[in-house]
Amino acid sequence: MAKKRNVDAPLSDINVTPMADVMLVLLIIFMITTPLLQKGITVNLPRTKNAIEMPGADKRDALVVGIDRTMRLYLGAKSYDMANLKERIIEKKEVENPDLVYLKSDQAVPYSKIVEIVEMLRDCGFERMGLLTEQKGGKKK
Amino acid sequence: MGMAVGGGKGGPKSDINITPYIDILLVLLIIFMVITPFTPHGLEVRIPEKLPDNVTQDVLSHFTGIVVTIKSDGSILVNKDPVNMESLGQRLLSIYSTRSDKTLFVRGDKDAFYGDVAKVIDIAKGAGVEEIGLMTEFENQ
Repeated sequence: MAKKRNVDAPLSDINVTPMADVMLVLLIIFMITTPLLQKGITVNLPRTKNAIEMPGADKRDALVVGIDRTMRLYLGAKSYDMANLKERIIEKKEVENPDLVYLKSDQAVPYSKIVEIVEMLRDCGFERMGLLTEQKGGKKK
Repeated sequence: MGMAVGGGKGGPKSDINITPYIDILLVLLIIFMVITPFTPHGLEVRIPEKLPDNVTQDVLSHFTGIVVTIKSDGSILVNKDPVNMESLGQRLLSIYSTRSDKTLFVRGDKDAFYGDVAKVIDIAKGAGVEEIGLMTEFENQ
């Protein structure tokens, strides 16, 4: 951006463009890290090709039961043991009555744990479950 | 990033370096490429009613549903026939193309991995199965 100026005058044209660039890069970094921190646990989800979109799992009041590799149970981002988890779920069901509960479980969790959770959810009155996965390949539906 | 701005002596020259602008454009592009695919995906399953404890052999023998069992070593049985993971899709496709009741029951060993079970459910969804019921009873053989 050349301006006609006196050679001896103090130079003061600051390029804004690189600063905007740095700002956008910082923005990207925060846009990626913050959701990962909020939604709590990072879990190795099973990879699927035929999963459908479940935007309901992202909603703030969604019931997302999490199981990580160490078999710790979570509701959202907080860890609970089985008894407290059941209580919390019953509470939430009475207040909001969602009809679908989501399971965000690590691939390596043994199926017996899953069955425990499914039976508990059945006792809470749920008939449908969404198993959250990582969709690979083309989107479906 | 060094930007050599041309001009200083001589007449007014206005060569604008467009490199920083392309840079910002690419950064914005990256932002949108990263943000958009993050909708959660999942597999929807049903939680069937608990089998009553005193279910008789007679009732069991009249069961016409199809049960896929995933064993702890990852091997798969379709109603007692061993099938391997690759041919499972084909097998289910051929079974369900002529069936009106597109329901499949899924059962796993206590030590089977959730990842294997999820993979089977994924294959089933791709083979035309509509409803998947997660059984909570373990195979008692």
